[in-house]
Amino acid sequence: MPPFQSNKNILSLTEDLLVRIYEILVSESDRKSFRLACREFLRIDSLTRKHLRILRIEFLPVLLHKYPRLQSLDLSACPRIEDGVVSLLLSQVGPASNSLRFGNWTRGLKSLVLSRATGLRFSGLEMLARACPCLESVDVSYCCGFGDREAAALSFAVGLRELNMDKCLGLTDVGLAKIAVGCLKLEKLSLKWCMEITDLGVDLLCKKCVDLKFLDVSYLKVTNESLHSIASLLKLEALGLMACPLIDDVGLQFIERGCPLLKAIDVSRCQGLSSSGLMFVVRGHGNLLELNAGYCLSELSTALLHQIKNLKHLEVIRIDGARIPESSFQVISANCKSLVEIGVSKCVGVTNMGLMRLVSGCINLRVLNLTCCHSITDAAISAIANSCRNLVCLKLESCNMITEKGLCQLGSFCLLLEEIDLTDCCGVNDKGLEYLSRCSELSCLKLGLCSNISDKGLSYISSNCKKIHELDLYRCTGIGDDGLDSLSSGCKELKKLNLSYCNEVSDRGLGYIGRLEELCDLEMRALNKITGVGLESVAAGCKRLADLDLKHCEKVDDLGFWALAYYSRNLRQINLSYCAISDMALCLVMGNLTRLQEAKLVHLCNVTVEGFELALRACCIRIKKVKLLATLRFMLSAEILETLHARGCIIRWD
Amino acid sequence: MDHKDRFANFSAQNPQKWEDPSVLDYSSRIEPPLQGNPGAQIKFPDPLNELLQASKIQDWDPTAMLNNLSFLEQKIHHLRGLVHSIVGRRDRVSGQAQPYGLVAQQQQLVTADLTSIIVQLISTAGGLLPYVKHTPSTQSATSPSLGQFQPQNGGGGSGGSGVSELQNSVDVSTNEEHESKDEEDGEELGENLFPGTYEILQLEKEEILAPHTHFCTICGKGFKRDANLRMHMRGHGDEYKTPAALAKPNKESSSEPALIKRYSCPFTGCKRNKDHKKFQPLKTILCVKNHYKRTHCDKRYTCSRCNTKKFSVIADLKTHEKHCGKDKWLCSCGTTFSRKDKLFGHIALFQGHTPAIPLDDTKGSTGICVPGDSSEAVNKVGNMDMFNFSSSVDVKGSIDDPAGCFSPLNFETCNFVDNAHATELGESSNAAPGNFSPACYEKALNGV
Repeated sequence: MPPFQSNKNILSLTEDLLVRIYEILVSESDRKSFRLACREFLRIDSLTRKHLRILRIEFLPVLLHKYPRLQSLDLSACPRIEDGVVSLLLSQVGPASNSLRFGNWTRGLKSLVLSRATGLRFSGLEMLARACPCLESVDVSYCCGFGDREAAALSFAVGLRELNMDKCLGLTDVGLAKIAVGCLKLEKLSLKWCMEITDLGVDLLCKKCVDLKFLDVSYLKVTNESLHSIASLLKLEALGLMACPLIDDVGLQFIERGCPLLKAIDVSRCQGLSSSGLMFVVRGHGNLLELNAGYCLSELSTALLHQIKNLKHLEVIRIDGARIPESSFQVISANCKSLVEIGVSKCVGVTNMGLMRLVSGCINLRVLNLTCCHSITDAAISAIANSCRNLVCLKLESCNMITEKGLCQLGSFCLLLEEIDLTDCCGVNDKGLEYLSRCSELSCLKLGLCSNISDKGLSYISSNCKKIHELDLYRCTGIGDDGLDSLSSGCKELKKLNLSYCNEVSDRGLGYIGRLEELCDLEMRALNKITGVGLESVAAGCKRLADLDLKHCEKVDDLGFWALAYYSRNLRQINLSYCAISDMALCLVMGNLTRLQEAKLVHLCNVTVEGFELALRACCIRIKKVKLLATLRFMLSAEILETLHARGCIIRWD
Repeated sequence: MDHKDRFANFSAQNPQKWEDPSVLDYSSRIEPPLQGNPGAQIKFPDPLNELLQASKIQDWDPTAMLNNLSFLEQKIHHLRGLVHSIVGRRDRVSGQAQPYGLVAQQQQLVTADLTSIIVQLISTAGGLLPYVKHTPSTQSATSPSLGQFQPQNGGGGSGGSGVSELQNSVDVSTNEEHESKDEEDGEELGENLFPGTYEILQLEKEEILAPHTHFCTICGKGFKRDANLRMHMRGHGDEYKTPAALAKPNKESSSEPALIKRYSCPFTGCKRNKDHKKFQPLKTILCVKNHYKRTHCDKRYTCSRCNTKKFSVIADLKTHEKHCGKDKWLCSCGTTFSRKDKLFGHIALFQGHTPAIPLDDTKGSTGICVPGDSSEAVNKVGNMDMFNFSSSVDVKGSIDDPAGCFSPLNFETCNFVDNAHATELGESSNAAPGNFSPACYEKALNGV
């Protein structure tokens, strides 16, 4: 029955079923394959797509037409978003346009990511805020030039619930007041590094935005006064106070009596605090889930421990940098049964016995940070592996006594392990990697400074850990081209790779690297065997490359840089310091790479002042950060420096 | 109602009020309360009236006073009769419970009458106010005090509670400035002197305003030069005639006066006036001078930089000029603050107010508070068109001291009248059937 047969095609599925299938696809590459299959699938994709993260602003108008149901737009990867662009977008495809066919893209938009959009200023922001009536979440973090005007512009988004203004360095209390008064529904606000904010601003915020659930004032120079205001927030669940130097125990006393719903508090690196301050917090909030007190305690005192013991629901505790009496582990193990994450990095007193006691009770541990706990050995690892079968992340940097025996235990029991940091563990060898490779879920592996591993060890990992995304081989001098061969054939999903100081790697090895199509972050400092040929193969192969560090690759010649300028159109950050690049090649690189945002260009011995001048002119409209030698400061023309400054580019003079 | 709207309302209505002849007509005030429109009766204890009236009278007129007093007497008598009849009626119906509403209405009526009596009493006393007696420039002397009452007047029946709110909103900075100044000058006593433990001196207005800097500690007379004062002192006794007393004082006067001296402001109704029930004496002559100028005088000195701020004490102007143009903390409503925390306190208090962001380039060039950016300005104009600067400053200037013209009692009673009656009775000329009006009340009384 041929007609019937032909109907059993996948295209005969109804639209809603296709949408359901589409929604099952999580990874971006799967979705890409889906929409490339046929027109119908492409249509499904454009109908269903809610989130869009674009790399090039020039495609945005078309894409906005294509995806009418967008709810979330991420422009953080675009090198240049400017007020003019915004006004164009709004007038061409936005509310001002008459094209009914495509509808209005701003109407449904709920989330806008403008992180690092340093080209945008208040007028553009205001246009966006006014044009998007449903806007609930805005991220303008790391827009260092943002200040009160931008905050005032954002305050027109009256429905805003989430706002991230980390490192908006110009923001003062006045801007914060604008937001506090304008966005009364605010539930989540992050103000990290907004150094101008004072108690006055925080106080006003707490008075106006009473629905705040999450507030981060890390690194601010706020005092106990702010904590007094914050304590009045009845709905607050998470409070970030990292590295607030001016708060002390008295301030935490306010928190003890306030914030009845507090679930998570981060007081790490607060120099003014002692354990009695933490005791106040813990005493007032028996339902605390997360306590981050890294680097603020000299010692985990018995009195504090006595309080922590009452936190039956505690899931995360970080007390990095403190001295921990061995008995504490027993107490924690016996009482805090729901612990999922423990951070005791750089703690004095973390011993095998302590860890054994700890894991005997806390069997649900998923994240364990033992960085720089020098005295632990395979015995502790063995106990951890045996008890915590759900372990996902284990950090063992600088745990020198760990050998292949420990890794054998991990490879046998912790089969869910996704991330392990073995940086500077000189006991790790090829055999150990062979054991470890049994953890097939591994996605992040850090082996920096492990000088005892070779290509052979890497081949075990390559053949078994197919999901590796990130691999750190910093100063693994035993790794050569053959290791990279196996790596490139096994770990196809590799995104981030560090090969710095792996001196054995040559152009051949880079040829293999070129096969890693997903690679976007490559650090290969001081590979003194590689030349332009190697760089060309990387540039030609790794199309997604966004971050490249070539510092001290002194043998790379212009051939390589030309290739880079020609192929690596997605490059966002580059470090060319100490390279033998010429005027011409630098100009090409800086001018051609239209996504380039950050360049480190110090000690380029073959580049003249004119070369720098031309290169900077070529990229000045989109570069955001550039590092130059201080001597150039007075040699470059004032005009170019002014242009860069006006464009919001930060120049770091070395 | 938002206070802004109310303010806008006020400025719109105000001119009419001024022109309205009935307001100026004093005789309407002396109508017996229960005749005629009760609405008029309730409106008449209007401070504006009093002031206008007061300023009309150039000299104290004993006959007018006598008239007033006898009228008051009559009124009290009338009221007494009324209360009597209520009591009598209550006795008669004591068996059954009286309807609650009626009792309340009776009570309101009696209180309204009492209020008007009190107000009239005060206004009668107000006729004796020293500054009204001889004012070289009546207009200038009264204008600040008028300003104080304008919002209330313009706000009509319901304005009462809004006024204080408005004051708060408008005047935070000025108040604060003045308070701090008062402290500097030592006006704020902080000491708890019991009445009688100190001697109270009260200078006359002319003496206060005289451009003297040296004052006699005994009689308070002022002199331009210290030498003249010393010559004057000789008249107070032989001890001042000694060569030592007449010589230029090197350190301090040798003999301490036995009794502590404190000063009273000559302005009747002022908290610094000795007749005020919460009298707070002034410490020194200088305090008297500054207090009187600041609170009861026209602000003659305008800042040449901003042309906005006005002062009555030159020193205040100079202090202001030092900071004028700098560190202006400006709210979107147009109010300026000298300190950031004051601005933030203001913003925390009022919904929708936000700090204005100053333009970098205009910063410092003018003291006039141009709202930050254009969008802000547009927004502001859209929101509230009320604050043109001159008016805001006038209001500011006038309400420094809430006790400036009349005792707070006046204020309270006015508020009371508003609250209790403007809503209940003031409307009653419309005579909604369910509503109680004094006319029916009278009928009811007579009927029973």
